[in-house]
Amino acid sequence: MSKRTKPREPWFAVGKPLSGYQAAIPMALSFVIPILIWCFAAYAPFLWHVDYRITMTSEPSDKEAFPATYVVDDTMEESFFESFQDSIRQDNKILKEQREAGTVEVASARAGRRANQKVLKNFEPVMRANGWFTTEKTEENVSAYFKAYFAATYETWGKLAAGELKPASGTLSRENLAIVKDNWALLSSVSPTYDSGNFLSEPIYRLIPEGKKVVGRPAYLPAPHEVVVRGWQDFRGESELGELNVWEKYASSLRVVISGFLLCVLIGIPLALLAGTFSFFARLFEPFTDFFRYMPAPAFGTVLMAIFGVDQQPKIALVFLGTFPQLILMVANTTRLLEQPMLDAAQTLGARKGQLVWRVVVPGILPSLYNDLRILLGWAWTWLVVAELIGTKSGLTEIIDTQGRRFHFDHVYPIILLIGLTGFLTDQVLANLRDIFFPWATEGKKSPLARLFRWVGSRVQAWRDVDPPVAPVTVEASTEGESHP
Amino acid sequence: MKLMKTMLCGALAMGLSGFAPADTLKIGYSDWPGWVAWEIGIKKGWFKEAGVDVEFEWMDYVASMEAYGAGQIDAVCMTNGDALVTGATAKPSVCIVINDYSNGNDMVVGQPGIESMKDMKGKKIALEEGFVPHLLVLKGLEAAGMSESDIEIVNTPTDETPSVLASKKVDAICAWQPSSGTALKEVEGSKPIYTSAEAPGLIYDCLFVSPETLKSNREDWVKVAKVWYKIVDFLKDEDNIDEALEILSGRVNVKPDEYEPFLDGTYIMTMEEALKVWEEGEGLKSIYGSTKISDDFNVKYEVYEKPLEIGVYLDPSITKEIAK
Amino acid sequence: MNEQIELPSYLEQSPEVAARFQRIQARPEVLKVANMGRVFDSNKGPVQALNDINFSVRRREFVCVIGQSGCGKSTLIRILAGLDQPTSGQVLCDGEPVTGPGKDRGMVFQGYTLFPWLTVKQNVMFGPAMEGRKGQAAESEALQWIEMVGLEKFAESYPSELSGGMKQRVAIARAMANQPRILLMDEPFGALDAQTRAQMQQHLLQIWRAVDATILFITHDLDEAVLLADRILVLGANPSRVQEVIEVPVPRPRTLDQCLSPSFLATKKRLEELIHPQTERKASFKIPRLVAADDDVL
Repeated sequence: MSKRTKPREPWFAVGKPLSGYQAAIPMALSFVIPILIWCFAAYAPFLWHVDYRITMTSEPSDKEAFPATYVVDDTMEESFFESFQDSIRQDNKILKEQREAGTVEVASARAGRRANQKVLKNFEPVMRANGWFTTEKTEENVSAYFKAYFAATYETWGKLAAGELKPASGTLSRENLAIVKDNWALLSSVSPTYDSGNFLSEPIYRLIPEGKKVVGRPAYLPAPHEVVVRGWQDFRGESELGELNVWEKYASSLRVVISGFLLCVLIGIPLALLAGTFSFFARLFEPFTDFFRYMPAPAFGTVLMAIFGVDQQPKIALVFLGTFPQLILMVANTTRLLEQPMLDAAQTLGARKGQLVWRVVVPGILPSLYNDLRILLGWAWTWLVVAELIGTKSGLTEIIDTQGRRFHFDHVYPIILLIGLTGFLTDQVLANLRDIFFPWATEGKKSPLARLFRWVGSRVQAWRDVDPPVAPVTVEASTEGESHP
Repeated sequence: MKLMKTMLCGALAMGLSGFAPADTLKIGYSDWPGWVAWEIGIKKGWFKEAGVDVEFEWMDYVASMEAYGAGQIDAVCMTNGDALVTGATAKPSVCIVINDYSNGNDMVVGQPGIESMKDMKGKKIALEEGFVPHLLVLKGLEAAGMSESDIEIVNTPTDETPSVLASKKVDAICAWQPSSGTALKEVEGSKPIYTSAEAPGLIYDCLFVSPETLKSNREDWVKVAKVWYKIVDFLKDEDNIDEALEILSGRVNVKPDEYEPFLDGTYIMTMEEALKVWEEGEGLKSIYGSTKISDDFNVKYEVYEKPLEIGVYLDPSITKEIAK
Repeated sequence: MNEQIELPSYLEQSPEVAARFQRIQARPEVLKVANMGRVFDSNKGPVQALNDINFSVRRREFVCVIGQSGCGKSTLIRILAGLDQPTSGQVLCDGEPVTGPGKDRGMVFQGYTLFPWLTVKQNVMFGPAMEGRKGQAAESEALQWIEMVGLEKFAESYPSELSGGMKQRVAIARAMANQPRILLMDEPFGALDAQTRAQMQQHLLQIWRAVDATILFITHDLDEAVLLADRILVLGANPSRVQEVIEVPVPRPRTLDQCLSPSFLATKKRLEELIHPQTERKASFKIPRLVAADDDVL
């Protein structure tokens, strides 16, 4: 064992700060532990049941039992998935019997054609898995895209039926391959290539849904990896739900929060300074403000809409309304916390009323004011979601609200995380900047950013400095026992 | 200090920049499939093409009516019944375009085990009181020989009804697509026990404009109505169905395949069909009859006190003018 | 302590000291307090904090005010500074009645009152800046004062980087930079450790000798009072009035060595008698004995 060079530092000492790596470890844990809890809850298979995630869907005719439309990536319980498959098999069986008896019904030519198109569309996962169709859908090519898709699928079915193509293993069940062959026989009897004007309206057989086993979790608990993947897709504008415009909405949300907050600062700080400095204004502003802050700001949503319209203004106004009373009370209080002896000293040095306010009160409270504003910016963020529901639903809230109501929590969590991260990082940066803005108010260790800044500042100062003038009076002075702290 | 000033000016500018020019017509629309269809005209730039300056404001349904009531928008997409409620409580309006009638998208969704409205006796239902779903439930109860006193209503915003159903705290909900679809999917075994398909014409979905703007901007509204029928023509063309689905589903961020059934539950009317509905008459086949029934319902269930003068709310002249 | 060292009377002054007091008497009065009193309102009715205070401070004189805690020393100096108002009588500075705080009466407080957002130099320049005096001239003047308190190396430091003694030195420089007619010091070294305090006392004496300064110094430390003062005002308590004015017979310049000189001790003894009357000086506590009487550990 090597000899200790430093005294042993205990992990748990009452009222003592941790140093260096000792501080870093619990800091990292404070994030790691919640994530681990999340992972445990999401991945521990014994907590949840087995579900099926649909990889190829179909549309049963039994609307009574299957009233909803199930699409790829939806999950369902095992038994429900089996009955889903059986229902399609039943449909196909009935269709086969009708066909043999020659009693196939066609509701309307248009509806029939569309139903058959849907069967072709349901085949898409197989086309993609085998690389038989690779065109990506964009906003511009929608019409052409579907024509190309139908044509490609037509061709593929023909080749599959003729045995010229073979699906990669696991991409198409034997059962469905047989259905494809049967369907091709029906489709090719009308036209060997896809032509929307000359397309079979008599029903073809439906594909049996396919799925894979996944850990069934409640909708509100998507797995971390799902959230990461969804977030990645959504943020890059590649969501399967269409364009979510996350960044555009993010900018809009930022605008609401920052505008509301700055407006608050602009109007609130002068009033709060007055209230903090002069008892008269404290008595004038604070009782009502104190009363007003208990009124829930969201309750004014409709009123704000009636006054400010439906766009950004009522939202900014709500953020303002929610933050303003807090700001007045908090900043006024901070102002009052300035030590009275400091004001006495200034007065004995000849400072008059205006000078007291501008030269002593304002600079004296700035660091605390800065901290207050950091906290208040946090407040402003808390009003964002409520604010953005007023009038036109906008910003990140539109995604949170809309997708949340549809139980697409895997799309909701990335947005919530984005908001959290924005707030957290803003605060961290502002906390670091504090040391730069107010070097004199920093106690103990300075942040690395601030240390760098100070160093640069001192270099500039040294370069600029001229020799100080020599004083005529010299006094012996001892600085013993008064070393630099 | 200078930086501070710049920031503050920026904040003010940002705050004020939201104001649209005064002559822009503002129309509130929400997630009902018949109204989402306006999105086709917006996306394709047909309003600009028609030379009319409109701005469509995407909102929650009830919020859009509140915005109209507060005088913040010139027009709003509402059902004929809700137009009466908004008119009686906030601000009257005039219907100039009938978009569609609800053909199944409005539905009462029951928990597993609830098979019909009759099973709802003494049970709880979540719906938005005083609006369309309320009307539909009352109609459904009437059809089942029951009345409002047979059930317990839990007042719930429509887009929150799926969560409420999933929480198992109620026995049924009443909502329209896409909320009703979400509910069906989230609660396995739940099913529609009564839908607007059983009372076609009870709910007409229309564009209501304020009487003032109809007077001052009539020309513009004619152009808007023209664009609507261009949209209808587009939708009715079989070859456009997938493109239309992309646009519509994109607006509400639903997968296109999931969106397709919504179009079946919303019967979008051609101009000929609309003109028939515009004819005055009794019963649900005429918007006059349908609105009268809504009015009676509203008075009966004390949504408001006195019957309204229905004629004021309906103006077929613009549709008729385009049809010529 | 039955045996006492034979001490001269504190009233005995050597010829030099007597001559010095005569010179002082000839100088003009900088500060005059006439029949001054202060009554506070409390829950239990009005409380007379100061009653009928009369004294004056002459130019370049060093006056200490001493008294028991709670005898109104701080109230007195706040009134002199103009931070509080007397309820009767008046305070004159250079013959002008005092109505509020002003730059003619500089003050050094017991606590640290430097402006933490200003550097040492900026702190010292605060007073002149209030009159609009800025720029090179004001700056070099400030540097002189900083040098006088021996902190030229710390001119660009912030107060948070200084020790307690250094902070008080800056506070003195800051008050002096305004060139006040009188410097009021309210137990300025009270919070310092003994060693630093001794240094500060010497330092203050040096400054006082080097510049034209009149000082009124409040303290509760008898040694400090005798070491620094020409005259000591002893405030009695309840209600507080000037109990006695002592002319300190210790010759100047003073050093720490004089602390054991007969005249020093005589003055201190007199102060002891005034501040802690005979009755108080006897231990009157009954302490239970916890060890056996015959325990001879002691």
